[in-house]
Amino acid sequence: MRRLKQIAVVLAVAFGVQVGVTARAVAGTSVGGQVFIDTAGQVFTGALGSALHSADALQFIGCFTTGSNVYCQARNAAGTLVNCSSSNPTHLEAAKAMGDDSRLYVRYDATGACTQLYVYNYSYWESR
Amino acid sequence: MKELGLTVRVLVLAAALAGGYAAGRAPGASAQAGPAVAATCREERADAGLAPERIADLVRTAVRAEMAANAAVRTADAGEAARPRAAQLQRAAAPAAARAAEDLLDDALAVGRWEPEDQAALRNVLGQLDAERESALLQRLAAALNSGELEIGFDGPMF
Repeated sequence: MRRLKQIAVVLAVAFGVQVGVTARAVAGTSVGGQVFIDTAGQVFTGALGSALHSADALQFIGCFTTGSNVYCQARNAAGTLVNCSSSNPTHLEAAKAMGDDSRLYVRYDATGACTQLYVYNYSYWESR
Repeated sequence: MKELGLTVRVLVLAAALAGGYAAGRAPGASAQAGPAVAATCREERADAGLAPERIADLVRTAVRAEMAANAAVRTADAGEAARPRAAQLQRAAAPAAARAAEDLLDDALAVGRWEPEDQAALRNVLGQLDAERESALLQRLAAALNSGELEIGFDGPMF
């Protein structure tokens, strides 16, 4: 009987540790960072980490800088792809500030120009 | 002209060293040599005598230093001359690269597909475009993809 109690205690401790580890992994405020595209409103947004870890094999979002230009693109879970480019120095600076935890917010126009480019660096989204 | 200057300087240095040697050998003489010798041979002059082998070494060292200095100047001059030339070449290449990039996009639009070969070709040509042409081309590509005029035949960045 005593032996059984010991086993129960060990299992309880192990379970507690496991729960603690799991809880720690998801602690903190988190909001969705899946790639969202509104072709009518000409806007796309999403977090790099969320796109990478999405269940589908379609989502991605990101920017490429050439030094004088920035080219951004995203594809959502439905397979819709949008692109834009900009030579606006402010946009270039913003793109250079992107990191593994970044979320992009981009507006574009019919000519393919990015008209607005925001980079959010918060802990809300999962890291790449 | 620089070579002539070098030769003259070497001869002057050699003469000064020879003079220093002779002066060093002369009894009671110690400060008759030229400034070049005084600067180069200060330690040797302390005992007031330079062996001919030591003079030859000093001449060789001085000649090497002078040649190295001249080579550095020549290299710097060549660098200055090369920079504008490279810029000219780049300017000359830019319109050709821009045409190639435009042709690449036109060809892709004709078939309605953006393939990995286009991706690689655009990546190669982009570096040769000036910022303005690059901007115009990327915007045109983005618009074509957004409007559905171009479909992508692969996963990954567009270029």
